[in-house]
Amino acid sequence: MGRKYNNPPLIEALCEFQFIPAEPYDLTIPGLFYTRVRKDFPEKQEQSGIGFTVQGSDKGIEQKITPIPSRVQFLSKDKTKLVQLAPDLLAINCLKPYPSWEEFKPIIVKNMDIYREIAKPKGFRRIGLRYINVFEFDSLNIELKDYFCYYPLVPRGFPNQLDAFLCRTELPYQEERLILTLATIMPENPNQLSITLDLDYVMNIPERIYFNDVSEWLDKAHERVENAFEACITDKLRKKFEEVGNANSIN
Amino acid sequence: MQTALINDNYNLITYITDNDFSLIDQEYKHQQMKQIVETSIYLFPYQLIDILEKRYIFENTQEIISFLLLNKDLLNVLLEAPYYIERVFGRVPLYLELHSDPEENWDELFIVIKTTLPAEEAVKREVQLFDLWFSNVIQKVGNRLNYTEEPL
Repeated sequence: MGRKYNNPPLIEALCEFQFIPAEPYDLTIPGLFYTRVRKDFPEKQEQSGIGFTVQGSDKGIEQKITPIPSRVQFLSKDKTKLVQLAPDLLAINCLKPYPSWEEFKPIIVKNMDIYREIAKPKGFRRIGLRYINVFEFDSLNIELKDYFCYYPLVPRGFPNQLDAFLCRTELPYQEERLILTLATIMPENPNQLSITLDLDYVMNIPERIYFNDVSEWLDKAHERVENAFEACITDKLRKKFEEVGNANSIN
Repeated sequence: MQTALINDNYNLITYITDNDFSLIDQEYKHQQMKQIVETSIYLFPYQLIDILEKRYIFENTQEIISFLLLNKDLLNVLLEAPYYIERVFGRVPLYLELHSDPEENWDELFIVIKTTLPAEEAVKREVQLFDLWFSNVIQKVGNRLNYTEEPL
């Protein structure tokens, strides 16, 4: 059990499954899925899909727009949790306030099971468990090293102050990986500095995980994300979240 | 401070909340694409803005991004606009400009279409664009989004 905070920076947790289909995507899947989840996710909305392609040609760079099948979202009444369906894709999102892993995990497993029963996919192409944190600072000029143990290192000879940055690292865990992304993002208040820490634990070897092993995989992924979060921040930042007891912000 | 955006991929798939894409030509249908879908609800608008920054030249970037984050429903309209503009004006540079009047608490985003066409022809096509596209979205965007053409 990790640490717990009164004001955790976690803004969104999500689990994304990409499937290997056994058959071409059936457009009735979202409807069948909704009949099974409407009690927990009564609100629904559809997002049309478009694909963008940017490619070089004799005329220079060309951008093209391509229609693709829609993505359907089913939302809880308070809109803090949702399930998203697109061809061979299922995502379960939990927005602020994040309840706990003990509450979030069963939602993931339950919806994955429902999808599996309806769509009958062959296996997983990719699974990702992702936690997105946002840190707000009142000053635009902060020393990153005071707050983070993971940050972009700028060599001597460059200006000290960073206007914007994006720092991404992929760390291998045997055949899986943890993707750490620390980046500035446009703040809600222009006088603030907002930094996101996006922790994404990913399995992307097709059919490496069987359906029955998902629960175990999720626990392992969660533990690694949790450890990564704590490893990426300093005590000075922890103080801002007001630690309580002995559990953590993403637990 | 400028904004660093999370996704720097040149080929991606994204989703929008409109159904206005039925008119898009089927000739685009068979493009080979690396499929990247942003499933984060929080980061999704930033991804759309990232795409817009590849299509439009932002005149006052910070203000425009702040405005778009407060008016997320305009993102879809701005994503589809280049398709229709290209059909009417051809491939031309597109700018985004935010015009504000703090005293009146008024902000309006303008798509500025830069063209080398003679003035009379440019105005004619501006009207064509209204009929083809803007007339369908004008109710939705209200007085928050408009477009104009300017000589290149």
